[in-house]
Amino acid sequence: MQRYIIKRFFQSLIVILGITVIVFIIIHLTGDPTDLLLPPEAGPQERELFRKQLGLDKPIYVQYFEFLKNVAHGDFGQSFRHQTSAFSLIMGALPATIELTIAAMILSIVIALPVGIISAIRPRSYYDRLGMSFALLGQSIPVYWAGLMLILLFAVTLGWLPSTGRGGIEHLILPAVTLGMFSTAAIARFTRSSMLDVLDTDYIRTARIKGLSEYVVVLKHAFKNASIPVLTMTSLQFGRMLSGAVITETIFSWPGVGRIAVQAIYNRDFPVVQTAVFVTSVIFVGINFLVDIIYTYLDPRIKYK
Amino acid sequence: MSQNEKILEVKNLKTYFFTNVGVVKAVDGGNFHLRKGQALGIVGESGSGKSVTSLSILRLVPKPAGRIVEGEILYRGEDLVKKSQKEMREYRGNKLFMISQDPMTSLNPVFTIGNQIGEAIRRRKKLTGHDLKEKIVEMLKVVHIRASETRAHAYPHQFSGGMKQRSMISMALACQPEILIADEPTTALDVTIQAQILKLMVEIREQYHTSIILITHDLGVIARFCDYVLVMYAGKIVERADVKTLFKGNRHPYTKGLINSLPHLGKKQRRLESIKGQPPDLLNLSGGCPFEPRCDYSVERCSVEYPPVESAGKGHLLSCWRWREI
Amino acid sequence: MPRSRKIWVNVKHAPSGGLIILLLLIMAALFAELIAPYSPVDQDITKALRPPFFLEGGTWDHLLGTDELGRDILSRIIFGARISLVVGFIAVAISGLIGTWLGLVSGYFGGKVDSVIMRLVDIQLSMPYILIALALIGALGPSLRNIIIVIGITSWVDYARVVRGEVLSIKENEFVDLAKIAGCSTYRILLKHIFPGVVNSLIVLGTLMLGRIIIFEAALSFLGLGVQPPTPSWGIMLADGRQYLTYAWWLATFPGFAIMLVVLGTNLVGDWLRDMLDPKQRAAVIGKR
Repeated sequence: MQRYIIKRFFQSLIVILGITVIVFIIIHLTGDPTDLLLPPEAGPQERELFRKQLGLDKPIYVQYFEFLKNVAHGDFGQSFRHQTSAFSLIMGALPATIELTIAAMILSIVIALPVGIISAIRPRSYYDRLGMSFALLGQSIPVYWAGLMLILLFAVTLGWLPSTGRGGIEHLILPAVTLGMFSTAAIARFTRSSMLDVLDTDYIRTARIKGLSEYVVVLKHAFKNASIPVLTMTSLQFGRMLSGAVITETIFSWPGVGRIAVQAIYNRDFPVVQTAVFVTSVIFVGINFLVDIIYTYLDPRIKYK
Repeated sequence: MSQNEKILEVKNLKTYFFTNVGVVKAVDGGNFHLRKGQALGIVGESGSGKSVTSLSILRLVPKPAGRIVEGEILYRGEDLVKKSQKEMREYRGNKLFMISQDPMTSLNPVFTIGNQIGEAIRRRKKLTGHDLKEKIVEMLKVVHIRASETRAHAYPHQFSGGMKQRSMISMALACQPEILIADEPTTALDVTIQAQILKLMVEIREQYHTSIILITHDLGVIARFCDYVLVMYAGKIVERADVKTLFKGNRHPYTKGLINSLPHLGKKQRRLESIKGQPPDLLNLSGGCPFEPRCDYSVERCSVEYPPVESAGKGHLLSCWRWREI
Repeated sequence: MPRSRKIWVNVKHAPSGGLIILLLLIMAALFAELIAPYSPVDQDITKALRPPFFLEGGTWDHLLGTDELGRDILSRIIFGARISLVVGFIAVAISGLIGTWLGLVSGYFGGKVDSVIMRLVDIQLSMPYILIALALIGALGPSLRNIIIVIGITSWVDYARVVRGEVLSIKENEFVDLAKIAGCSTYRILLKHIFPGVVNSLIVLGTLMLGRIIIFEAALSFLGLGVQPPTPSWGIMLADGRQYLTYAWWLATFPGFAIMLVVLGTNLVGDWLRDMLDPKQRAAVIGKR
């Protein structure tokens, strides 16, 4: 088992390395920051000096290694816009994004799992068809529209909930529902199909032959098996959410990493952009790694592969 | 309670599968009974309806396609067909148990063997903790699984096919059922393991006086193990008799074909005999005898009308228009 | 012995709703000039922010109302279909090509090549695709061409994984070994033996991806880094609508509803295709209650 964990750890490292490469490439695609940072009247000599200062005259691979070294120290440079380091800016916004994403994820799981399981044990029933229709709808509604419509209904028309900002629970509800909508639908559908596959197996029939109650058959025997692929799917959804948070945060003016990143892109504030991308990605890689470890406890067959 | 009373009576059982390409009459008029301590064999090809018969008894016919449309299954006088699933749960794992065909897939891969046997044990006695562990180990020893203390914590994928099947038997023992159905218990295993499994089942029968329904397509197993045999073809029981009569005094063409296709030791054979023709298409059965297309003795009537059940001797029944002449 | 569920799935009747929606989409995109009552860029400030016909103040002239510059919403939605479809199809093609090729190579050759490509997949999956797309467009400039390219190169992952999976299971079949023994070149094996088995999944995936890419394009436009005004994109309409949400809700509601309908259509048709094309689910079983 140790070997498996170590292997996955190194794979994760490679992925992170790859991410740094991509981030680096993107930044360099955006062109020479010299033009941005210096006033237009600056002469060619000043530009040369400036470029030397920023280390922009060195060959590309050297620049990359400098970049890598800095990243390892958490140094992504100064934000062009704000007077702080890009890293601290992003880190400051991170808790907000995590709060939102976790809230959305919890909401998703709490709704999707029961819906999926009950749909699976009563397939083709009225309940199943209703649940799956909603799930289909949920996967077809774009995040931004959902957010706007929810604001329209609950904030503008009914006035029950605020439409912007972060604060107490009432501020969290609309953004979390918006962000979680797609995942809820996806997880519900997937749980249903995973459960249906499992309920059809011989070992579930054995459990029934033993005369165990339906609760035990479904929740102990079936669910434990079905939950394994559902777990993979859920962690993928979590990654999707970290991505999708960008739009949700923008709509609700939620002070998270996504919103800051979008602002930074408008302002061509590249250090902030690259930090945001990097931090989000690393978090996702970390979560995947954790999920892999949890896997080995859920599915005994993995350890021995 | 007499030693030989009938504990199970199946009357006119009809279990059909409704598909969008037609109706499959998996079991079409099953009639038989089982006595206490008896070993009943059901023999037939794939698709003959033997497995569906056992699932019907347990009321585990796959829904929603499958359904028992007619018939009674009387267990000690109680009609199981009329019971709800909740009521059936009282019987399963308690009075009735089944060992399935494929031991590789019959055990839950994410729980230990001990855990799963423990569940069976707890159907009878609410043991916990140390007592439960002891009992689990004991049950593993009974089926000759060595190093049972450590094995109890193993997962199914760590067991060989034979060990898995023995674990299933262990579960069966823990349940102490009155009727044990074994659906092709040895088909997926090596011949040497087969012998071990059968030996175990003989032990169970002797020790606990369990009635066993053994489903198989292997006539050799039938010969060694069973008292009485049903021969099924395309959902119908075409002949039934005690095992001696079945092998020596069979009268149905299909049974003859089966017995004759066994290679004979000590007898020189040029060719192995087989039954000509194809297995029946269960979606397109005529109203007559389903064996007719492959039968050497068939006449016009056979393809039109299904022959009634007639007696050819004590406890020997069959359905054939021409059995007297053959 | 028939397993209950594997042959249980209904051979669905074609999802008429879904197909109709997609048909409408294609018609709108192709014949926008003929169908739409107005030009999407005709401004008339005097008619700004008219409500849809069923509300007070609305007229039959502008069924779905007008926006802040007096442009007819319905017409803009119809023309918007063109953008969505163009971006959708081309981006699906690009991402499909990249992903399928990588998936084929990865699945067929296995070993180191497979490891490398799978790492690439992991890397791409870990990165927030919207931010990447935004950053790239920010760098390259928001033109229609750039948008299509950027969406195309960030959406290849699903194809790669699905195709790889299919190739792995096709490889198990003996006919692949036979082809190798017969001396077929690798290229020929991939093309004639493996690819046909992959096509079905591609069709299903392509249909589903169309919906997702339409949402993606609208998202970029919504954030201002997609199609630029005055070109009517559903995403831009939503961005406009956001500003006027409190007093002119129809600006945002109808375009978004159009997006939802289209994606619903692709999902319905995609699911139906998946059920139809999956060989395991051909024979179906109906239960009678």
